[in-house]
Amino acid sequence: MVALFVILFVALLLGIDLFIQARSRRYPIMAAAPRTAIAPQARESVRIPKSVFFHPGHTWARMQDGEHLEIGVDDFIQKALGGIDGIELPAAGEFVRQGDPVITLNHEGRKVRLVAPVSGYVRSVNADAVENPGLVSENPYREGWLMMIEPAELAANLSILRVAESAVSWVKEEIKRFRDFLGASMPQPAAVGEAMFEGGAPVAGALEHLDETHLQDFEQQFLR
Amino acid sequence: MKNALQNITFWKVVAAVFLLGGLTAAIVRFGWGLGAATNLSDITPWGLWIGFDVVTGVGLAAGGFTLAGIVYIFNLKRFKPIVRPAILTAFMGYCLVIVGLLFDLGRPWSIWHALIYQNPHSVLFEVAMCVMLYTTVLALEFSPVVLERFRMKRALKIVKAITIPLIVLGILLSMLHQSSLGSLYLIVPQKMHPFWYSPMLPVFFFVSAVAVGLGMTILESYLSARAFQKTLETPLLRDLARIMIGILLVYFTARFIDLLRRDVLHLVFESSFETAMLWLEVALMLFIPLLLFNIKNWGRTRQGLFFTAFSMVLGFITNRLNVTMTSLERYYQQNFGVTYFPSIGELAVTIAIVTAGFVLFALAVKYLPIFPHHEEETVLRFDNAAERSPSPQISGKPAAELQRH
Repeated sequence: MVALFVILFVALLLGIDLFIQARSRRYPIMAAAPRTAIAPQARESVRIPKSVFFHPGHTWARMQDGEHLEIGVDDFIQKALGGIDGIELPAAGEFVRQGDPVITLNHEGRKVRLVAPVSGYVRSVNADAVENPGLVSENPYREGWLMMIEPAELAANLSILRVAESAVSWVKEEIKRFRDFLGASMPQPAAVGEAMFEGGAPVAGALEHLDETHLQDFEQQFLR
Repeated sequence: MKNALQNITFWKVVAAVFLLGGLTAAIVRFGWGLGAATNLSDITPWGLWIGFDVVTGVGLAAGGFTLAGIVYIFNLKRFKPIVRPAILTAFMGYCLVIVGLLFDLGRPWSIWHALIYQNPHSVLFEVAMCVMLYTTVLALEFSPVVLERFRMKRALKIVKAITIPLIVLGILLSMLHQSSLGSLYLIVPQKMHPFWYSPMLPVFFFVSAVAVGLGMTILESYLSARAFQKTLETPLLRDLARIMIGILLVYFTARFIDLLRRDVLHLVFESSFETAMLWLEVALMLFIPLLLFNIKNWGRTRQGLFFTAFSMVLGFITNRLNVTMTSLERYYQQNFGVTYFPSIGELAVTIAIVTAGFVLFALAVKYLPIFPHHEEETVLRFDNAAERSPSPQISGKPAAELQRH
């Protein structure tokens, strides 16, 4: 009886923790879809590693071994999507050009296309991430990398990429811009709620609330 | 004031209540004695404090020797980043086991007697010596973390020079007392239910301790990453989970053969409380982890690994409490009409000890170099108000400018 009591007590504590975490959306699998795109106490955050070079289209590149660059999508876009169910990438050997849409992320039947942060030949793709897109959500800058590229015109490409403090300021601006974009694009006021006027912030999965036309606008304004 | 209030979370309040409850129970225990604070008696002298705080606690702290063995004996260096948290858990675990033991001993001030008045024929003597020696070894294994923090280079050099002998000694001592805790119950075959009494108990205790050591390492890594927004070593933890499940398969195969050889396998289909508890143990320790780990696209993510390890650890706790409590309950009832259930004081002390473990671990991770250094990063909240971890050393140069330099 003592054993059963202890197990039930521990299970109860886990249950309470799951409930609290689900509310703050830290367990994506447990949490319901956000009811509004903007909430007064949104706790989402985005990570900006110091050594990563960011493209304005929310992809990144990092020098890997002196010859190759690791490529991926940034934390901002994966949080805005609220989850990734599928990833489509160019095949190894293909040439990709900086700014061309080459990465497709699927989430609940909707697609967004992201651009290559640099030009070059795709030397390999991260099969683990393609098979298990959850890796991108967990850590888009490490296990969630997508392609290894042999750069073709790196010096020219670097001029539009941002790094370190410059990247931090840019992401700050992007969050503001995203909040304003959501406010202007919601199909009905309820999807933004009064939170917009109370200083609310975008929730994870905010893009789920956009209709197809506004999703295309988002792609044009944020992912190019 | 406002910031201080914002830092108060639900779990911090719960921890404070638990610690306060434990403190109150401790005052009753040491002020008025075991009789006033516990439901222990001459018939049931070992209760929750031995069953959970000591026997289960020592098992849960097995990650230290398991990870040290993997890295330093099997030379799998890639697991090195998670050795320190495992050794920290082990060191704290043993310290808390000793605290639990001090609560349970009738005359705790005589705990040192085992050193002088030795009884080499007693399994308890072996356990006492091994726990004392291994806690010392763990203190030395953990000391580089503190020495690094305070930049005591000479002392650090000396400790590093004796790392390998320490690791070997630690593994030897752990193997001895993890199994000896099982040996303790070999002297009461007539009292224990046949599901859990077995001449193989020492071996079962040792093998399951190795598995739970890996499970605990996954749990503590996950919880630390969550609490401190650290990067999780997911690929390493995935490999640990794979090894853990392999060990569990070996463990349960051995237990199945043991039940078969002792001709008690037919009892697993009987309708009884013990049967239900055995199936609960097997489900939590083996079936659920096996199932969760193999869920496509989720089982190997950080959440999947957390729930896999959590279920295994819960199953391990069930096993140890089944051996130390469930297996004896029917005997006490039938022969003495006694049913033991821990008092509020016993529960409060145990809960406070576990809470203290969480608090100390969090403080150690916060102030000491426990986890490997990851690349510097800034975390921006979506509400655009706070920069949670600004990095003061960021150069701030745009890419084009960096390139020019």
